[in-house]
Amino acid sequence: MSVEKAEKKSQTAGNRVTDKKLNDYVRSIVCRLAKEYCQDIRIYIMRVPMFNASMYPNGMMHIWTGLLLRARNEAQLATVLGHEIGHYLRRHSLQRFKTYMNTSNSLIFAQMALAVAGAPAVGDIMNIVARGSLAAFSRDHEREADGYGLLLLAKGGYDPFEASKIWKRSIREAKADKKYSSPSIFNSTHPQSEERMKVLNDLAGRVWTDETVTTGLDEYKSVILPLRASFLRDELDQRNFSSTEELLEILIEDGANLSELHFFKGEMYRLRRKKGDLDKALNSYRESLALGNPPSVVHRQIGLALRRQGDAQGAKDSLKKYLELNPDVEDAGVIRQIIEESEE
Amino acid sequence: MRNGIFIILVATILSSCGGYKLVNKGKEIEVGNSMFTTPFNDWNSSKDGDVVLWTMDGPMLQQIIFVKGAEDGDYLIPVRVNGTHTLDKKVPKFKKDMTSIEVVELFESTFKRLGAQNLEISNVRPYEAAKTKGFRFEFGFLTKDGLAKSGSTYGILKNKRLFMVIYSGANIHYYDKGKEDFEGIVRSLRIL
Repeated sequence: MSVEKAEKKSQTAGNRVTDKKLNDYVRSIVCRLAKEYCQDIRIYIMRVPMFNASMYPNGMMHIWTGLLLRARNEAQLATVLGHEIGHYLRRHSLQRFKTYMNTSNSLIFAQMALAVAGAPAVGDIMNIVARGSLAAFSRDHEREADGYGLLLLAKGGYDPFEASKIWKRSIREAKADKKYSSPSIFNSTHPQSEERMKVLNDLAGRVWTDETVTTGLDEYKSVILPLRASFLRDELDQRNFSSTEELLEILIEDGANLSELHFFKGEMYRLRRKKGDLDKALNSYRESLALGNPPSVVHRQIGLALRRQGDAQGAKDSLKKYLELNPDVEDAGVIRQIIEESEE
Repeated sequence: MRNGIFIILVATILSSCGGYKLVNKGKEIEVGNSMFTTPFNDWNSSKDGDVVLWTMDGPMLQQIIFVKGAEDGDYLIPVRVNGTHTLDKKVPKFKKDMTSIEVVELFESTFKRLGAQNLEISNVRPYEAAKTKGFRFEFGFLTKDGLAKSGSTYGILKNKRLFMVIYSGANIHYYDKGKEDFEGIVRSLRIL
C-alpha cells in the first residue's frame, strides 16, 4: 500500500482519536520539537493499546494511545516523538545536506566533532541533523534518531534526563512479560533498551543547557488523566496480564489518581482468574475505596468478585451498596435481577 | 472448528467465505442446540462451529449472530488471528459462573478483538424472552475503516449455558432494515 493510500485510510480509520484537546496538545509538543518543520507533520492519534509511534516519509505521524498511557510526563512523550521526528528530518534533510557537505565538508565535520566532544550550543535544526549523523550516535538510523530526538528535546526546553527514564519503564514492563512478547513494538525494533538508556543518559549531560528545562508533568496530567481510564480498559483487553501488572505498578509509583489505578489493578486480577486472584482483586478494590473517589462501579465489581468466591451475602450487600450510591445507573435492573436470583 | 464463517479482525464482524442456506420466513427453525425461532423475512444462514450467522444483504451490512448454548470454557464467538484460521487465544472465554454483567463484559472484549472500534454499550437491562428472564443491551461501534454500525443484543443464561442473539448493521439503511425482524426473532425464541 502506498503511503498516500495508508494516510487516506488513517484519516477515516475507526480507531482514530478525534478528541480535540488531546490532538491540539500533542500537536503543540510536536511543534515545540520540530519547530519550522511542524507544518510538514500530520498527526494521527490511534486507539491502539501499545507503546508505539511511527513516522512515515510523507510526514504522516502515528501515535498510539498505549504510548500516552505509558509516558509519565510531556518530556517522556516528547522523547519518543523527537525520535520519530529525527527519522523524518534525517530523510528529508540528507539530500540538502549532501550538497552542503560536499562543498564545506571540513567545516561541517569540525562542527560535528565539537558537538560530540562537548556541550553543543543547540543551534538550528539543520545543524542538529548534521551533528546527529556523526559518531556519537553511529551510522545506525535508530541510534541517530535517538540522538536527534535528544537534541530536539533539549532544544524544546525539556529535561533531557527524562529520555532514558521512559526506556527504563519500558524495560521493566517487557521483562515482566512472561512470554517475552514485548508489549512495545517500538522497543523490539529499536536498539537494546539497556544500551539505549545508558547512551541517552550520557548524552543528556552533554546537551543540557542553562535554559529553562521542564518535564511538563502538570500539563501532561491535565490532558491525559481524564482519558486514562479508557486507555487502561483497552490495555486490559489485551490480556497481557503480567506486563499490565507491572505497568500498573509503575503508574502507581508515579502516584497520579491512585484510586483509579488500584481499581484497575482489581479489574486485572478479577479478569485474570488465576488462583488467589479474587482475593487480590478484592484487596485492590478496597484500596481504591480507601483512597477515596473510586470509579462508581467499584461496589458492583466487589459484589461480582464476592459472588464468585461463594460469599452470597457479601455479594448481595455490595451490589445493594452500588445501587444505593448510584440509584440512577443504567444497569440497575440487571443488578436487581442478580440480587433476586441469589435469594431464590 | 468446521469451516464456514471466517471471522476476521478487519472491517466486519463476520465475513463469510463459506456457503449460505436459505432460511424461509414464517417457519420455525431450530438454530441449533434446541434454540428455535421464527423469522418474518427470508434470511441466509451460515455457521462456524457453535456460532450461526444470518444475514439479508451480506454480513458487512447486517447480521444476526446466534450463540446457541455456549458452555464453560467456550468462546462467545471464535476470533481468528488476522488473515489466518488460527484462533486468537487472547479472547476471553465464557465461564459458567458469569452473571449478565460479566457476559456484557465478555461481549465487549470479544467484539473489540474482532476489530470493533470505539465500542459503546448502552441500556443494559432485564428482558424476558423464551419464557426465561434474560437481559438486553444496545451497542454502537466503528469498523476499522470507520463505517458506523449499531447493534442490539438479547442474552439468556440457562442451565449454566449462554444463549445470545446479537444483531448489528450499518447505521445507513441496513440496521433499520433488519431491526424489526430481529425483534420478532427474539420474541419468538424457544429454548428447550
